[in-house]
Amino acid sequence: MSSNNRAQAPVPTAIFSHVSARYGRGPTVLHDINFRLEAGSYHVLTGPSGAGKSTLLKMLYLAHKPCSGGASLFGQDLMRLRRNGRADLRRRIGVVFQDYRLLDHLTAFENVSLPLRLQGLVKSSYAEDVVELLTWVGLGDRANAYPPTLSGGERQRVAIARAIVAKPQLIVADEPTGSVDPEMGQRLMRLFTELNKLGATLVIATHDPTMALQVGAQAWHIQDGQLHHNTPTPDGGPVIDPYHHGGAS
Amino acid sequence: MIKRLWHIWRHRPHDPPMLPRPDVRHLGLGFAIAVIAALTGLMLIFADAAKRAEVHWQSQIAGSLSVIIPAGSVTDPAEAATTAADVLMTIPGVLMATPMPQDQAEALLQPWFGAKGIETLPIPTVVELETDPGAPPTLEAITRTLKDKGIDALVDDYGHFKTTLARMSGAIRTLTYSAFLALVLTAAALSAFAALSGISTHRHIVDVMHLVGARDSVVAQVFERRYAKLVFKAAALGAGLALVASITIAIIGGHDPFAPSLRLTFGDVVRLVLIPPALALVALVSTRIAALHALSKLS
Repeated sequence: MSSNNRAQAPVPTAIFSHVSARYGRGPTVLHDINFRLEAGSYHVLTGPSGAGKSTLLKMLYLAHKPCSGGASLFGQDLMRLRRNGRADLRRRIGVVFQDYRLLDHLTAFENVSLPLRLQGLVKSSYAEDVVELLTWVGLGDRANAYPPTLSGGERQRVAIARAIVAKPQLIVADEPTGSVDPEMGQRLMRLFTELNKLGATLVIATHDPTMALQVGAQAWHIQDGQLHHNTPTPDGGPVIDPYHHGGAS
Repeated sequence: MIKRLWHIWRHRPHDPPMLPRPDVRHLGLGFAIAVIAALTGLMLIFADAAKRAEVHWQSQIAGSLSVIIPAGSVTDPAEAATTAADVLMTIPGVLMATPMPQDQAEALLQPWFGAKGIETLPIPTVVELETDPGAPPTLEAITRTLKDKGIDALVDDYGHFKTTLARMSGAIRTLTYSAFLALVLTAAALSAFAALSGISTHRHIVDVMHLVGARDSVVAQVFERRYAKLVFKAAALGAGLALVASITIAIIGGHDPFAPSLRLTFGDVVRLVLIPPALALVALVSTRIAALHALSKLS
């Protein structure tokens, strides 16, 4: 993974200040969210179902706009960002979904190369890289397979490969190990750790409270729409850091 | 625009289609577009045929006049016709003055009065004039010259017929062009509706494209390409059907007075050939507008 992009981006990956979020005219699902996501940092977000994890991630990968507060991504003000600007920023973000969101009519190779193709690159310029990446995630021999013929773990790895193929500066993953067996989950987490070591900023949402400690990441806990910056403990229990509660980390 | 059309149309075999293969639902759109293209083609051909018929008929009566001597004003119609013809030939601009035989004059009235007993009717004496198209005599000059020679006659330059003909031809063309416009708008609406339906059906693909950084214009282009190609193919089929239909009409039209105008001209073929790209362009624009509008509503 190239570090060119990161070298020219000394600004924090994201800064959220007093951000709230809601869907339409519904109730506020996230209240007064504050954090600073440094470039190359690694965060694990935990919390019960419905607490607002997915909404927070959606705001990070620009699928949902905050309803109040201030938010910036790669130094750009999200509140003032136009649609095309959002699209351009999304190219710097890789997203891994729990449900993979692969296109069933495209092969694993075609799914992984989608971000590059949509950037207007021709196949000859990226084919080798994509095959190498698929090999790296253990799917070198499944490049021409269609998603419906792949196992859950294989699909997840294709989704991860698609998320990182364009060398994003921020990787956001929502329950990336939620539907794979523990062994595969460990393998995928090692993959994320490797990516972080290569310089990518990672935010991973999970139900596993021990994950942050396992991977040496900063722990975030979200409860009732409030974000808490935790100090992970060996038993995985979330200990709320009162100095970071509701404040920037 | 040409660059954009080329970009949409170009074949990149290494790029798999962003959308799944068209399914049976596209047959309905294809059928509708083919019918629209066929009707559009026929409308254009008929509009042109109406204009050709008007020009043909106008040219047939151009340079012709009829001098009508009422039956009650002369005792010997044949002698009156010959005298009138001699007088008319003295008028500058008159090339030929030919008395119409009485039986021919009767034949003109037969469609209205029937053959039986027509000889008992007071049939007027008619002298047909052929005038110089470059310097035709005025109606007043003809009437005055005849009057000076003691011949009380009416002069008909078929002006009312020409006016009616032009009005009818204009009405037919207005009607066909209005129908043509309505058909094109229908094609645009169908394409836009198909694009909106496509975006709704393939929302998961749209979302994935957005999430990997595709701008709305790029996403819209996927649908433009799908529907412009579909419309082009269906319109080509429809234009082909219109071609076959117009050839058939021209053949079975036989000796109908309108038949000469229904013959297929080079201009008609050009119009038919232009229908598929024109409708594809209409589909392209309407699909783009609809798609961009729909995409702007998505998060």
